[in-house]
Amino acid sequence: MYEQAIQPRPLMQSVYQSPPRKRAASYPGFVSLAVGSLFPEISENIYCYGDDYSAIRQSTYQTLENIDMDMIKPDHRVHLLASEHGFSILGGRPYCEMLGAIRDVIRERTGCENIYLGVAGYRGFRESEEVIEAFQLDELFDGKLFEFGPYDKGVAIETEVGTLYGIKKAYDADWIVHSYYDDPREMYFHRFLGRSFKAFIMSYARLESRSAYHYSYKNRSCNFLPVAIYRSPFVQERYTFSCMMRMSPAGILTIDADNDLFALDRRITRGQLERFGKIQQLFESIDACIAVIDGGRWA
Amino acid sequence: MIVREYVPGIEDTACKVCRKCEEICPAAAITLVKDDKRMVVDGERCIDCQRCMDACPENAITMLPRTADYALSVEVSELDQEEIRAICRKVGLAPGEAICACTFITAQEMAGAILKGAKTPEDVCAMTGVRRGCGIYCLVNIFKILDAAGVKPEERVKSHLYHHPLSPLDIPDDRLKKIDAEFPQYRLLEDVSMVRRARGIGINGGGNDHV
Repeated sequence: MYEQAIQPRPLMQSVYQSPPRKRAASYPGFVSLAVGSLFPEISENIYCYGDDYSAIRQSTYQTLENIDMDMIKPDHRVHLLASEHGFSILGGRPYCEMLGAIRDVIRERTGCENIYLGVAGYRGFRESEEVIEAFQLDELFDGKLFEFGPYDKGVAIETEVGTLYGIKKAYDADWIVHSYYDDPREMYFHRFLGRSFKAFIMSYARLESRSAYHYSYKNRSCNFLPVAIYRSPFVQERYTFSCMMRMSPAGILTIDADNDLFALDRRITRGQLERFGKIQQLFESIDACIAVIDGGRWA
Repeated sequence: MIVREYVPGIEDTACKVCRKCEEICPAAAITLVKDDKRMVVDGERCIDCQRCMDACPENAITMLPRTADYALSVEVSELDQEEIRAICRKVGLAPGEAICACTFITAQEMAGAILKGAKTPEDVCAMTGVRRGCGIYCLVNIFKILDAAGVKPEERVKSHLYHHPLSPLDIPDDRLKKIDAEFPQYRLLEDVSMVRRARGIGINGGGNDHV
């Protein structure tokens, strides 16, 4: 039942964190426990660990077959908008693989070569730069990429709840692709509300609007702010489709895409409640538990 | 109260005067000396958030240990308590409520800073130390408290921020009800009602309606 602990990928070098002297997984007595051995219904995945990312690419190609990309013309400029946390999920390489595959499919289907990766940072001015360097994204995207963060020049987005401010650089394109992930990260249930939209306020928006999301609205209603941005004419004029790395406690479940983010969000919410709810219940049933976080970006 | 241990030192030969540090400083502690074409730091205003060092593309900023004036706080006991309470009430915050999760600076300290002359979000930061941590989440409360104290937007011309006191209370009732009917899972109406009750106003401007 118990396997020797799976060794995590090396940590990304960063000015924002000191690496631990030793990773928890390398201590004697640490084991890995397959989630499926506890919950057989949560064993499905296309990736959990290792260096073979071909299933991620294959799944991305497969899901994008059903996506309408007719709006993208060869002379257009397309921004794949990526969020920082994706680069820390299962070592970060799976997310890179998905991003590269999205770019390749768009290129093959539309003939468009002006596809730029936008790497969003949380708050540190060097975060995106570090991610780009650590995952050789410059090479992967042939130099067609840019960094952006909450202090960059804003653009007013008129929404049904009032004016919110996006990052101009992120939206300065004919089309945007919401390239995201559904890793719940925050396991309290109000953050499961509209989880798929969150990047519109916490990655693609200025600091003032991020503040309103966290401190002006309450825990449930705040989740409507990214939805309001998504529904705004400003975003809808540029929005193409969303492609997301869907997570399970057993690894990456699949890559899922949709032109309609609401439809994708419904699938994601259901999947998360089914799979992560059980893990939450499990931890609640354990009397004593010490969690070791030795590689979290903001740990 | 915050304790400031360091103050930025700018290496003039390395600095290209891009003014990025000036733009992102939450306390407006870094300014351009036009004649000299160099940046200078006002140690009195600096809150030691170290964001300038992080943002500098030339690595021209080093944090130097402070030799004096470590602590920064606003003494509210010497101010009119009713005036402080009135400002906080308008925003729907308790005077002793920490409005910044990083520094635990309270609503009354921010209101006190304004009563002592703060005219901009940057002044509030420089006087209280708020925004020293993440620098992001508490921002909307600074705008709201300035508004509640009646500080006029035109007095904030030097700010690099978008004045953004966005509140769920800004949504007109008819639109609010429409959104709530379409997306009941976000509990917008229920949460707005809660915010209004905290400020003593009802959903239609009178009483404490339960919606």
